[in-house]
Amino acid sequence: MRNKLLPKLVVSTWSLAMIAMGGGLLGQFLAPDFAQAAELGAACVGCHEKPVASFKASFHAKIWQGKNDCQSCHGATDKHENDPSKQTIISFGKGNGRSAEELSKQCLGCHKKAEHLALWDMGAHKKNDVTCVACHNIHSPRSAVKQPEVCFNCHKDVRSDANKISHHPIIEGKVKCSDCHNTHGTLTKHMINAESNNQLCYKCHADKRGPWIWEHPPVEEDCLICHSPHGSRHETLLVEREVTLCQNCHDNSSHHATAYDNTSGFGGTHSATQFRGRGCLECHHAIHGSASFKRSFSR
Amino acid sequence: MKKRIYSAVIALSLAVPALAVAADENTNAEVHGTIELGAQAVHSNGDKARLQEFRDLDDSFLGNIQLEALKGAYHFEAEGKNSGEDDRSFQINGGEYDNFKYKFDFSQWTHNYQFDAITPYTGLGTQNITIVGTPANTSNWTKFDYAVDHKSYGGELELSLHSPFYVKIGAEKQEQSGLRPFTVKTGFGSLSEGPEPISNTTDNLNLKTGYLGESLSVSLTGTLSSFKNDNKYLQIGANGVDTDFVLAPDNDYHKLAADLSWRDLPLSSVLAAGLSRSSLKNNFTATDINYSSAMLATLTSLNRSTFEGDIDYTNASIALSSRPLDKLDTKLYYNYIKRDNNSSIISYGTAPVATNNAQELLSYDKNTAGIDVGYRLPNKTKLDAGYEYMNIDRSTALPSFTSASILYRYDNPGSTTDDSFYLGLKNSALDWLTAKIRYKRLDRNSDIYTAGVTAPTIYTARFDSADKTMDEWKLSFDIFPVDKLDLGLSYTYTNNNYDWTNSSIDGDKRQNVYADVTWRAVEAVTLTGFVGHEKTKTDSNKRLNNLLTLDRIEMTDDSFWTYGLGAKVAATDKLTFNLSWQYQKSDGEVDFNNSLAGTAYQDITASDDYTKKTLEAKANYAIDSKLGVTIGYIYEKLDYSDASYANYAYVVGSNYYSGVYANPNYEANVGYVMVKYGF
Repeated sequence: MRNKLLPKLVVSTWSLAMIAMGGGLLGQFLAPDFAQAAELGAACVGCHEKPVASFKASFHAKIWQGKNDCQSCHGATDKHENDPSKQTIISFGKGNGRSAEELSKQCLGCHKKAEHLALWDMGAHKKNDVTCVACHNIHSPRSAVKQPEVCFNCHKDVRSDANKISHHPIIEGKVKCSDCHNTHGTLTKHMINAESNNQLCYKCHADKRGPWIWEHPPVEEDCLICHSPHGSRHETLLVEREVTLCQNCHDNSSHHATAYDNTSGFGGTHSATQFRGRGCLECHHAIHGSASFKRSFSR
Repeated sequence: MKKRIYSAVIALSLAVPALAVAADENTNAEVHGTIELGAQAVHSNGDKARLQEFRDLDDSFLGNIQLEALKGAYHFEAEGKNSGEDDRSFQINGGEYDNFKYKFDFSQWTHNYQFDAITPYTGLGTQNITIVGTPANTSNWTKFDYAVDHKSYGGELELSLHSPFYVKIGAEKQEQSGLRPFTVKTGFGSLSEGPEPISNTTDNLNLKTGYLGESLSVSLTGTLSSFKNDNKYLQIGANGVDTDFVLAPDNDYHKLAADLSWRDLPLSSVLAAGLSRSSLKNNFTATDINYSSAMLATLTSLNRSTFEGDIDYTNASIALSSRPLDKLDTKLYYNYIKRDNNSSIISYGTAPVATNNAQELLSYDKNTAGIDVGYRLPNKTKLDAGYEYMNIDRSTALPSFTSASILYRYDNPGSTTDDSFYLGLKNSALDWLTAKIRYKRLDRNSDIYTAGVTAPTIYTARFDSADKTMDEWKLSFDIFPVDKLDLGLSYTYTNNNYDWTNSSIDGDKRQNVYADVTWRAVEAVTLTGFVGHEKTKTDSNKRLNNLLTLDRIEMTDDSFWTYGLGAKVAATDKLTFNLSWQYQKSDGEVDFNNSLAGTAYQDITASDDYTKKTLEAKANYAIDSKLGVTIGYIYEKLDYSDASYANYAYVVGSNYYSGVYANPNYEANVGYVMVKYGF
C-alpha cells in the first residue's frame, strides 16, 4: 500500500506555513515603516562612487536599513582618509595584505551563530584560506551564490568532469553543488551533506538503498569505487570503461576473464554478448543488489 | 486531480506573499522583479535524446519570472524558471533574519536516455512484457522512448523568533516515472533489451531543533524517508514461458542525529561532534515479487519465503581544531562508521550446492583518525602537514566464497588499513602570485592474503581493497600580474600501484593539468579562457580460467582535452554581447600485450571517443531601464564512437538490441529571443 501520510503532510505543512507567513507578511508590510535610513556611504562616496552605489542596492544594505554603513565591514576610515591605501582599511580586494581569517572574521562577526556555519572551523575552505568574499558578492543585489560557476572558479577538475559526456545534471541546473556539499564546513570528507558517500547518494537514488537479499559488497561500501560523481567520459559516470572496470575484480573464471578486444563488437570475428552494447549490464542488470530469492548470474 | 491540487498549492504559495507585499503601496516595501517571455526554435539532426538528456530543447515558448520583495528585515523571493518547458522549476523563500525562514521548491525534469528505441516486447510500461514468435523482423517491433520523468516537491519552515533556539521542519516528495534501459536473458533468446517500468515515490520528512549560542551550537535531527516502488518485478513472457526479474524493493529509513559545536575554548579551540543512528528496513514475501509455487519449488529446501531487510548504521565523529601557538593551527579528528546488516539469511539447496546469501550480507566497521597541522612561516609561507589512519573491517554472517586454490574474494575482502600523510607548502609573498605544492602518500594494507601463500598464486581481489601505494603531487599557481588579469594553473600527478591483484589492475598513472585566464582588457571587455588535459594510463594483468600464467596485459590509455574561450563586450551602455566556445575531445584505447601467451588480440582503438563542440552567442539590448531584449544562438555538435557500438545491429543471432546508446551523435542549432521586463 502506498504511503499516503507523507504527501498529505507535505501539502498540509506547506499550506499552513504559507497561510501563516502570508498573514504575517501582510501584517508586517501594512505596519508603520522603520525609520528612514541615513545616507549610506556618505564618507566614502567621494572616492568610491561605484562601490557605494552597488552597496546601496545590495541585499545587505536593504536589510540593514541604514543601521550599518561601509565601516561595518571595512573598518574605521580615519587613517584611510589621510592615506588611501588598502593597508589603512579592511579591503577585500587583491593585495589587501590581510589574512583570510581576518577577512572572514568581518562576516562571522554577525554570521557566526548561523546554523550552516556551525562547522566552519572544521571545513576545508577555512583550512585552505578561502574567504567568505571569495564566493559571496556582498555588494550584490542578491545574496545567493551563483552555482556552479563560482565553485568552478577554483574546482577546475570538477568543471572539467561536469561538462563531460556523462555527468550529473549540474551544468543544466538540476543539481546544485550545495545539494551534495556544505561548503561552509562539515565533519565529513569533501564536506558532503551526509555521513558517508552512500548515504548521500541514497537521498536521490533511494531505489539503490536496499536492503537486498543479494548484495554487491563494493556497492554497499562506497558508490565512488565505480562512479565518478561529477562526470566521466564513460557512460553512467563510471570511472573506467565498463567491461574494464568489472574485470578489475571479476577476472577469475568463465567469461569474466575473457579478453574482449576490437573484434568483440557487433559483427566482429569474436563477437561477444559481454562486450556488445551495454556490455556486462546486458545480462547482469542487478549490479546494485537483488531482491530475488534465487541466486543466479543476473540475480 | 492530484496535479491540480499541487498546482493550486504552488500558485497560492506564489500569490499569497506576493499579494501581501504589493498590498500597500504607501509603505516602503521594495518590490523588484523581472518577467521574461520568449520563444526558442531548434533544428537538430541525430540523437535528440542525447541532445535533450537533461533539458528541454524543443520548439517552445519560454518564460522566467523572478520576484523579490524587501521591507525592513523581511524578505521574500520567488523564482520560476523555464515555465512552459518540461524542465521547469519554481522556488519561493523568505523570512525575517533571526526570526523565521521558509522555502518551497518544485522542480520537474526528464532524463532522456533514447528516443525511438525498438523492442520485440509488447506491454511496455507494465510489469508483464511478452515476446511472441521469432522476432527477427524489426519492422514489427514496438517503438518507444527511454525516458524517466523526475518531479520533486518540498517545503521547509524554520522558526527562531529572535531567540537562540530554533526548530525546522521540512518535507519533500520525489517522484520518478517512465522507462529505463533494462536487459534480460531469457530462455527464448540469449538476451533481449527492453524497458524497465519506472514508477516510484520517495517521501522525506525532516525535523530539526537546536540552540545557536555565541560559543555553543547543538542540534537534534530526526529524518524519515520512505521509498515505494509500484513495480516489484518484471515478468517476461516468451512464447508461453514466463521468467520473472525482481526490481527494487520498498524501503523505510529513519535517522536520529545529534550535533555539537563548541567554540571559544582555550587555545582558540573549537570542538565539534556528531552522533547519528539510522535504520533501513524492508519486508517482502516471495509472493510480492510474483514467485509462483512452481518457481519456489525449484528452490529446494528454501528456508523461508519472507525477507526482512534490516541494516543499522552508526556514525560518530569528533574533531578539535586549535591554535596552540600564534602561528600554529591544528586539527585532530576521529570518525567511526558501522554498518550492521541483520537482514534475513536465505538458504536453499543441499550440499554440495547449497546456497545462501549470508556470504554476501556485508557489515563493516570503519575507523578513521587523523591530524592536520598548519604552520605559518615568514614571508607569507604556510606549511601544511597531516597524517590519517583508516581501517575498514568487513565481515559477513558466513565466510565468503573460498577454496583451497583460489581465494575468491569478490564479496569479503577482509580488513584494509590505510596510512596516509601529506605535506604542503603555500607562498603568497608576492602580491601577484600564490604558489602551492603538495605531496600525498598512501599505503594500503589488506589482510586478504592467507599466511604461507605467496604470489603469484591466483588471487582475485577487489582492486579497491587490495594492497596499494599511491603517490600524488599537486602544483598550482594563482597569478595576478596586473590588476585586471587573473591566471590560474594547476597540475596533478598520481601514481597508483596495486599489489597482489595478480588477475586485475596492476597500477595506473594519472596526469591532470588545468589553466584558466580572465582578462578585463578594458572596462567594457572581459575575456576568459580555460584549457584542461587529463591523461590516464592503466596496466592490468589478465589470466584465463584460473591459470597461473598470464594471458595478456591490457593497457588502457585515456586522454581528454578541453578548452574554452569567452568574451563579454559592452558595446554601448545599452548593448552587450556574450560569446563563448567550448571544445572537448575524448580519446581512449585499450592495447593488448600479445607476447606473453602468443595471443592475437586486437587493440581497441575507439574507447568512449568523442568530440563535443558548443558555441553560444548572445546579444542583450536594453531598450530602457525596464525593458530589454535578448537574442541568442547555440550550436552544439557531438561525435561519439566506441568499439562496443560499432556496426550496431538490432538482431545478432537470438540476441535483440533496442538501440539504446547506439548512436548518440547529434548536431543542433538553437535560436531564441527573450523580452525581459523589470519592475
